[in-house]
Amino acid sequence: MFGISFLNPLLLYYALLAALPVIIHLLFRRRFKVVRWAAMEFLLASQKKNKKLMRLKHLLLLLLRCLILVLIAAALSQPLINTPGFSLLKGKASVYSIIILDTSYSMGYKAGNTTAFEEAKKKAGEILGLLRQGDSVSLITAGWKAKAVINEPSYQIISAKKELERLEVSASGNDLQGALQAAASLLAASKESIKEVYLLTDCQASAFKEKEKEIKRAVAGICASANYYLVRVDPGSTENIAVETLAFSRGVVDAVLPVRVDCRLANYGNAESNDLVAGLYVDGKLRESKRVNLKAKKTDTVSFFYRFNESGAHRGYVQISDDPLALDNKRYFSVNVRENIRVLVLDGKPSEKAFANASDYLVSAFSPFDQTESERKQVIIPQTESLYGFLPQGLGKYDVLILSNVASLNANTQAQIESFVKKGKGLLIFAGDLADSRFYNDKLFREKSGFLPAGLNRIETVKKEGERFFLDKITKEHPVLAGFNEAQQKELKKINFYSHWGLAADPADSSVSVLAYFNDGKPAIAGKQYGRGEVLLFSCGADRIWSDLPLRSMFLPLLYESIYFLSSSSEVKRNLAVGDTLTRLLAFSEYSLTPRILTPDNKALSLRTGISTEGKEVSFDNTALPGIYKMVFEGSGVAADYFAVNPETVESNMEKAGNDYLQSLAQSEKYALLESDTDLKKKVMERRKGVGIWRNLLVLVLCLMAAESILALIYGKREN
Amino acid sequence: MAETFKKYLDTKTLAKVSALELKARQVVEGIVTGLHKSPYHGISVEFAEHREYVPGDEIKHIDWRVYGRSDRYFVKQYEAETNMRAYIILDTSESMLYGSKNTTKLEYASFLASSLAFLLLQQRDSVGFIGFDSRINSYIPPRNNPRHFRLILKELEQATSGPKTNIEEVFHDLAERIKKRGLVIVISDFFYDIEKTLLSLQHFRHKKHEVVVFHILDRHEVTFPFDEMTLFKGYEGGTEILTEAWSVKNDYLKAVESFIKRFKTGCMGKRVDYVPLLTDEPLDLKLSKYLAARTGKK
Repeated sequence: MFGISFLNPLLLYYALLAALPVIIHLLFRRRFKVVRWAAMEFLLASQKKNKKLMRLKHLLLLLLRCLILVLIAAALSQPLINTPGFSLLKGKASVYSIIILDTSYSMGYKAGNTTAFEEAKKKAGEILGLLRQGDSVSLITAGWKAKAVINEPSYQIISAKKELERLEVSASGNDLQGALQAAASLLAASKESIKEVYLLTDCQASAFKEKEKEIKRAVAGICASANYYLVRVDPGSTENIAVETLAFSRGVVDAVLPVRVDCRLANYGNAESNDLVAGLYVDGKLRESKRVNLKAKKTDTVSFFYRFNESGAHRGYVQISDDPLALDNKRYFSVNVRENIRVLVLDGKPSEKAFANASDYLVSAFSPFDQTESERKQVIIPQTESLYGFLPQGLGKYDVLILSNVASLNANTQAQIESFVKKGKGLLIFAGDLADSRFYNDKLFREKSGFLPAGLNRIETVKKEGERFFLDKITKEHPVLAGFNEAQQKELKKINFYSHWGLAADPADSSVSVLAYFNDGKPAIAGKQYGRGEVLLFSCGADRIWSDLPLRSMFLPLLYESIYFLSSSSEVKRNLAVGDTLTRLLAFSEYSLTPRILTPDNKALSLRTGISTEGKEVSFDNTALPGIYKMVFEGSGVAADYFAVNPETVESNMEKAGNDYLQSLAQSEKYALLESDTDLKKKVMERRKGVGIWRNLLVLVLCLMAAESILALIYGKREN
Repeated sequence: MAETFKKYLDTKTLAKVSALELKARQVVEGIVTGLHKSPYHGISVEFAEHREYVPGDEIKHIDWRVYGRSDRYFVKQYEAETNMRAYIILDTSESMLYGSKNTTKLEYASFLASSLAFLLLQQRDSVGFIGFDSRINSYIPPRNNPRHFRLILKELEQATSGPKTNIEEVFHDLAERIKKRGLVIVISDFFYDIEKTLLSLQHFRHKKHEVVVFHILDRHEVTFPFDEMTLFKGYEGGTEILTEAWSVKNDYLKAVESFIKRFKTGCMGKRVDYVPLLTDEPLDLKLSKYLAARTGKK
């Protein structure tokens, strides 16, 4: 609806000056010269002829003069044309502003002496400055996760300013969608007549594109009842290099073998980076540094090889040279270096003859070195037990249990193994010829609810001599096979299988994964996450009857990767993202202790204690800062543990969303994009009240004045 | 008679009359003498009076006996010798009172009338005087006695203006009343219906009179030099017009111009001498110019 309001309504009283021309006219008519005149006849005729025309001319001039004064008064009072409704005409409509401040770490991008975040705070301050007594404000941060700093509409603008001052850029990603939804909810509950939502962000493309639909929906909700301003605080540059990922080549790091630390660097900018220095820091010391040339818009992986000398908890980071966005130049890690991995092999078909049973190949694979020499170097310590001499109570000291050609288990053993896996340990099963498929299916698979990844159907055997099964399809993404290069994968496919159990794995089950398929399309290796542990099921026995796998060069890598994978599941999750909850299961001996956390900014904070099915655990939620969190067990001999917290690297890509794209997300006339150089106050006040038309009025006044002069010249004395 | 004369001439009036006479003389001297000759030669032998000889008089009319006694030249005047009768008809209506400067139209007209009377009497023509507005206010029959001039002057001086002009009625009345043909001199601003005015002038012409009209206007009446809000108060009938003078000026001037043009053309069409006069114009010059033209015409 059309409406008009005034920024300086009091000046409208100047419109009374419009009476001046009328008064002057009347006074002018009262001041006349008296002349006795004889030739009245001619004068009368002349006046009669001109009377109507003169009156019309007078009226026109009078109207013009009055109109000029009215328009000048109107222009001085700064009228605004608006459409929102009559409430604005009252002039006392209160304003409810919701300020959403993007606190994601990309806002920490430095441009000159300031950051985008500082700029955003400045703009937010300007917005607060536009509020008057009776207006209210809410403040929402759009870092992960969105949080209403001031939830209920606050009428304390000064307090809101203080709250704003306290805000800092976070190390998290963004949650624009959540923030906008929160704003829409606040708007729905508000009864104010003028509602405004300001989103102050650097307009990172990824921030919008990731949740495009949700953002669009939330913005539509906002625009239904409020003016929506997207305030772009663009640092103007997209140059940024980030340490994107950091990973160890093995799931389990030991103090025997060097481990490869792969570090992926990404150049998101448009300029090639020469002589970029990347350094590996372990336990506070620079261990290795490398120079890297990184092309624009490319990623590259830098690998460091490092051998930990001591077992136990270690921490470190990879750091690259400084750039405008500092937060992603460093990536932390924490690693528990194992002294060894203890593996128990339960042999279901013991034999006195060498390599007549399945476990012989496994044990020899785990001990490839001379026994005397290997005392110090061997990482995997195997122990073989026959099923009959096995005491399930002693299972706790092993990291991985291997069931090799075990026919079935008694209930107690089955329960112990199930508990073993649930606690985070690994189970590797070689289903041999003795395996009782009914037991496996009924007791261990249990229609997908057991820990067995797949059911056993029947043994598939080649039809005639010379035929073979082979691995046809390999899932490279699985951690066990991820380390195999092309040549190694080819080698895996050369392994000859003569028979195998037909596995019935359900690909729809998210906890189940098939690592490799045979050429007959049936799964060769299936895995399942069960509780906190992992289970791998090989569809054949680990002896030469089933395949020539034990004799193949790939046997050792496959077995070792499987053991490393299975043993890693028992590891505490030490590498977290910002905002994740840090959790550690306490050992029984630690139950009486009260550990504390030393945060990256050196604050000692308490942990929350809880009891889970696996035992007593401690947790810590406030992982907002990236860095190393040190868990200390004060007054005890328990060594400190470390946790690494890193930001999401999606924020590192500084590519900005274009105006057209942003417009497409908010197809409403209530949406306005305010660039850094836009006069925020002017724009907002115009939209709050309408569009300023005083310049147009002044132009009109000038035109009317010109018209008046011309008409006066034509009608008036000058004519004579 | 002398008593009555004195009664109607107070000292101021007398001063004005003498000033007027003087003015008239100044105007006439050196202009008229010898220029005008009565076209009619007298046939009467009845002596009327003597008058002093002026150049132009015929020598045969000098009374040598009087010359013998007084050593001065006098000519004999006979009643029948003055053959031309002139009637000066003066409009004394209120509109004639207008004068943008010191002289009103009536004053100017009076100067003109007295000058013409003096002039005619000098020529021994008979001069009569009629003052009118809506009716005839004064009537002095034509005489050629020099003392008659004083009578006319007195009438001029005492002429009071009436409300409205009624040329039509007055002129028709006069045309019927004046039996002997002569020279009819009409002095007016003629702010009256042109057609009716011309028709009434035609009446004089019909009665074989020679008619001369002196159209007296004020300079302001033909230039209308007003440029501000002005209240025009009429003389006749009390009409008032409050107007911005500049707004009506053009149309007014056109109307006046048209009026003069139409009246002049009408006069010429009826063989009436038309003499326009503006009150700020020197009367002697204008009059001599006219008289010269008139003499040349004859």
